[in-house]
Amino acid sequence: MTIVEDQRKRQREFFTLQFQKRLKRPRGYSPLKSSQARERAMFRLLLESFREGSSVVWKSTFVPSEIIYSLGAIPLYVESFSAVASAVDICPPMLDTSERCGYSRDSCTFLRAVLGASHKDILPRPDALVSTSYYCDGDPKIFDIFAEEYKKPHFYLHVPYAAEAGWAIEALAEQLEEVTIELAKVMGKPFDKERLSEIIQSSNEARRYLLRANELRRHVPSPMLGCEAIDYIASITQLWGSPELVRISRLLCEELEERIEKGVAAVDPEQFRLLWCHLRPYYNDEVFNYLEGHHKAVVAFESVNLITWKEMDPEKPFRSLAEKLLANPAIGPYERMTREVARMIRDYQIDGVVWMSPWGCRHFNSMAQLVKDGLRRELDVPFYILDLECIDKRNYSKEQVRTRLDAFIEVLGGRKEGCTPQV
Amino acid sequence: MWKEYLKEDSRGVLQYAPVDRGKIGYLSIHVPEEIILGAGRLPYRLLGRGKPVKRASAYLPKTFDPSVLDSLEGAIEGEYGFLEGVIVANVSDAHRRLYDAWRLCGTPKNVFFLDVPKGADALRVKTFSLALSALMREMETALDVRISPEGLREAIGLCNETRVLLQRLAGLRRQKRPPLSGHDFFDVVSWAQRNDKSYVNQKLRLILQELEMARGNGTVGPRLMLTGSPLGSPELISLIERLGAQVVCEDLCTGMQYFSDLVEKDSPEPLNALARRYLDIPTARMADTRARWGYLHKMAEEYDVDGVVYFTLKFDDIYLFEYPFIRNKFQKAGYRVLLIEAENFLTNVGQIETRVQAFTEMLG
Ligand code: SF4
Repeated sequence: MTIVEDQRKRQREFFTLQFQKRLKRPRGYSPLKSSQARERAMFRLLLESFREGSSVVWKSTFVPSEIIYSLGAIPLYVESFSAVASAVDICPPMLDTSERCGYSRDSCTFLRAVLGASHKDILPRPDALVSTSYYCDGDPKIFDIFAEEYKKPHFYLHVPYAAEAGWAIEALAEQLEEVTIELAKVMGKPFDKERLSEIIQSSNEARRYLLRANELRRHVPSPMLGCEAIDYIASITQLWGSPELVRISRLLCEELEERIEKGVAAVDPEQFRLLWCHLRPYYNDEVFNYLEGHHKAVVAFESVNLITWKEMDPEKPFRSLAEKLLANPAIGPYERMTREVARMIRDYQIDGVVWMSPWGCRHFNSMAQLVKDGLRRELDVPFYILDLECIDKRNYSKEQVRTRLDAFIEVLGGRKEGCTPQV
Repeated sequence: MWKEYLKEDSRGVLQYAPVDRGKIGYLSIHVPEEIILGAGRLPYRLLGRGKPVKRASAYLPKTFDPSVLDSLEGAIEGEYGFLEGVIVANVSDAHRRLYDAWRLCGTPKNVFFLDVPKGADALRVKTFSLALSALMREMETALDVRISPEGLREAIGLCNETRVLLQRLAGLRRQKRPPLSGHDFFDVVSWAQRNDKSYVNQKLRLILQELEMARGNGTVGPRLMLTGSPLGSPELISLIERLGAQVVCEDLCTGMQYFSDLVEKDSPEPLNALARRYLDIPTARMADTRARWGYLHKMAEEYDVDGVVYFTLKFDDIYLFEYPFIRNKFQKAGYRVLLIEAENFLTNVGQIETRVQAFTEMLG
């Protein structure tokens, strides 16, 4: 694959334009300053990765950005690229290309979009690629294919399924260390443990703010719209370890505190409190606007913002990062996820759960029914599995989705009035 | 004559295996049969029922690997009630959830789990050894047995022998006119995966004696390689061979992957030897596409194939994502490729027949 520099420059200009348009888009709400800062930081990061001389490491969801920042490189979280591309409306041709190349329409659109983008050569060029066994089968597979196409090394991390077994932490910590040292060789720099320790400290600081923000969001009425909050994806953002995340999360806390103090409700009057599981549609805000604006059902919390890991020890960066990865409830048997969903329902006084289920996502779809049944055994909260696409607006039908949401909200309304139909 | 051996299984097994030896089922070839043998049990590969599912959809989504849904349906319906336990391996997103669902609603109730990395280098082998020893401990407790290093070594010897014999049998298919069809070969491998190894080895020797002397009666049509998702039955192979082509090699976990390599014999650390071998199987799930392509290309050359049939089950992401890459590689190497995407059992037979026929004619 040959990429000439002036093409890179053109791509950078193209994305700059798209991002500027995106930042100025009309929204159904006035965003927090922290949210705008977060959006700008994400765009900057992506633009940086197009810059000549930048070292770029493509990563899948659970590869800790901290190790990449510690090597002075830029993490390109590929699924997040698809989300951004969907938001700036350039996904349909990427998906068309992937389909023409032979990728099945039944598989994940996040991954197919990025495969299409790679074929069209509109992605920042990787110096190395790192994937993990989680969330899904598609990631390591396509990373390996990219590695072949770009002739760059691919490192793979196996996150043990037995996340709670004594041996899992050591086994993963060793792999993280190995990958970091290998990446350092690729970047042509020695691995600097002190730098990683500093980054871990910064990550800890952001974690403290984001935990505080999550706590503030327990307030009734909710101080923040789910539509806005879900984009933080605090559990998986590639901003972990960057100074930007500290600034953004500190600002978020301040803004939420201020809103609570002034009695500002994100949805007024707040009729229902929802928990949203999985990601969101990136091509528009309609679903959230409909729930939060029309039905006054605030998305009080989102599973992707859940922080489950404890403070990391900067002196033991790899062990700490391993613990961070293994704390993710998506790893291991479904009971781990059920436990966390139950906790979020209690913490956020949730009236109903929306579990978003995109057609092509084997990982999340496969857990839906199991978690729903598991919850039913301990909590009486309506749980709705919503078939909805994250990336591909061609598969979105506004009317259909609205009809389904109406039915769900009706159930919640019925329960408030005393009848308890099941969903 | 040799086909009679395959029918004798239940009678034959009894001569070689004590009646009280329970069977432990397994679904993936990344599960070392040696551990089951070391526990004094017979390994039994679950190959699916090939029927539509009904009750499994109450637990797992319809947009899911149909072979996994099929296994769950069998577990719910009690079709595997004769097993003492089953080992589900973390070989895909679907298998991981199968483990959850089986524990909730399936039989047998002893459901063991084995975590399998997608890499075969030193650290991944080490992680896999840890996962294997966790599995062993779990089995020891549940079955009240001890799996000793000696027991493992003995089992390694037995399974290696099966592998060598099957390799010899596969080698016969390199002939211009192979003495056995692809369908026959599939039957032998399935049978070997479900019967007592001593018995299998003894009969395989007899089968080889007969076939090494036999003159091939295979067709002279195009020689095809079959690769892709697991096939639970030889239905597709029969269909291809009915149309005049011959499947001379298959990169399938229900085919040649099963005996792709030997386990190091007499290793002081048999568990590590097992970990190495079972991660070395070049299945599509492994994150080493280069090694996988090398393996596929070598197989195509060694078996002198004219074309490749790439089979994928619906929603089987590993293959759906791999297919375009492998197709391009094959095409660049001068091979034609036919993609067949289907359910666990062939529902759209007419359409598949037409496509295979067109493909065969093109190669002929
Ligand atoms: S959406 Fe699902 S299938 Fe797609 S990358 Fe994420 S976890 Fe994998």
